[in-house]
Amino acid sequence: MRRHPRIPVPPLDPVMAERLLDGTVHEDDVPPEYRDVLRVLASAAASPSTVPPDEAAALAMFRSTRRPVDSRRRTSVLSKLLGAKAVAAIVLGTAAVGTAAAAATGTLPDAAQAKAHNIVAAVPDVDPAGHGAAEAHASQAGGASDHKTLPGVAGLCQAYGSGSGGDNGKRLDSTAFGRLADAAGGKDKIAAYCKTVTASGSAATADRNAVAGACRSWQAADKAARTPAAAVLDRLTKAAGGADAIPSFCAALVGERKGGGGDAGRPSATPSHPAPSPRDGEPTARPTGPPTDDHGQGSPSHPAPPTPRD
Amino acid sequence: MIGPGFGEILAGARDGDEHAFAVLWRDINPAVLRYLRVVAPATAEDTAADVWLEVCQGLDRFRGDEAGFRSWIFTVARMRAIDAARQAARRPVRTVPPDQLPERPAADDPAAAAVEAQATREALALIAALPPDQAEVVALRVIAGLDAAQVGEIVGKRSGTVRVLAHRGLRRLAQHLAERTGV
Repeated sequence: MRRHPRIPVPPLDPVMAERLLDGTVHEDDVPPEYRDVLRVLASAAASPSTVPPDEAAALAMFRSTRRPVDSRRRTSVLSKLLGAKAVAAIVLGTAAVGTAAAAATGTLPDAAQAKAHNIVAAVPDVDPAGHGAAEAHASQAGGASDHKTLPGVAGLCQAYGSGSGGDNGKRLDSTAFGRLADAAGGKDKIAAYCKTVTASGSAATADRNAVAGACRSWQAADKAARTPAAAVLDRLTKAAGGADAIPSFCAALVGERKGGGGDAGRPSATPSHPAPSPRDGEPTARPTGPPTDDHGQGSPSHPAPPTPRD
Repeated sequence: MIGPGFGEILAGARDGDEHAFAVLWRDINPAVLRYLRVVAPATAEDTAADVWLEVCQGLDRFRGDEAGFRSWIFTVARMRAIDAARQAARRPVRTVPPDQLPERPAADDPAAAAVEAQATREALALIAALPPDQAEVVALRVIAGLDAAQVGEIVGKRSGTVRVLAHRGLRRLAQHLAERTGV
């Protein structure tokens, strides 16, 4: 860049400058001399449209810095990542029950059954090489499951719930009831299961994913005998309809957590990495309290240990 | 930005939930990488990996909201970039030409992705060509999405100074672009 530009550009009004930097200004409002600047800043700020290919490496590094967690987490990184597993579990569960309902009670029209099958077929393959595409499909399938497969199961759940008090399930014949119990993981879990089904039907997919995430946090905290974050507890208490109902609610939504941890030492899907050696650097969060051990601006520090990449 | 769900996602990542960590990483890493391509272009990818390692190790001790989290990450990024620049100064391998900066194409639309990547490369190279103090604050304001006060805390300057540097940077960019197209 030349030090003495020959083409003079007028200085920028400070308010306009801040708006340019914030990206909160329309091109038409920008002085003509600064429109190219606006474009440059927009290009620099734009998020890439692709899922970065080094995500697997980042996750491997994340794992290496965390304590061991249960095998579900470690063996299906990508499906977790995409939320595809949760989606698939719900879709398969609902489709199976929906089909059972049609078979057992004849309440489902053929079209609904066909849709259920289509959706099962539409559950995305989780392909490590193309997770961007898989993600797009997963979100489509998620949306579809909300609107298309739920009527079958929602109907069963409704039938189940419509019996008052101890009459739950009276209106379902034993086969349909049995399949609902299977899908829920037990007769005593049907109530919680149906709650998740109806919740996921009414809530947006994103919200359900957030609840599923909260469930995983809760399960991890529970497993480690720690108190889960207040926000997590709050959300789940509301979603499950009470703190007591959280275990079965989460088990129905994201699956039972592994007890015992018998496979804790099993290698994960990606090559295991040595734990990183300790750094001199404590986290530096000047603006935010601990991590507090400030490096000082520009103080020397040691080079990083090799970061796992694969 | 992640928004209202940030607290839960951070809590999940602390608990070892990879899904939660991936949400954080996907949200912030592109900006980290671009910031590093402005301030330490030759080592941006390696430095970004160092940044995330440090962030993962410090996750349990972090307290704060999403804005604080981003500030923390870019504080770490700046320190690692300074380290990288020191090392590079010892073995002088300087600036990478803009067209050699890696920017990955999209799988679904290669043509559009190529255009996007090209525009991004040029934009980052233009910002990187500013005087270093201007380039840094422009990158932190625009790419990291931090406000002047947050940038001031990260670079150790008053927010008024940050504004002046950023505004000078914009004017210089405008002059450069006018010369380029006006010839």
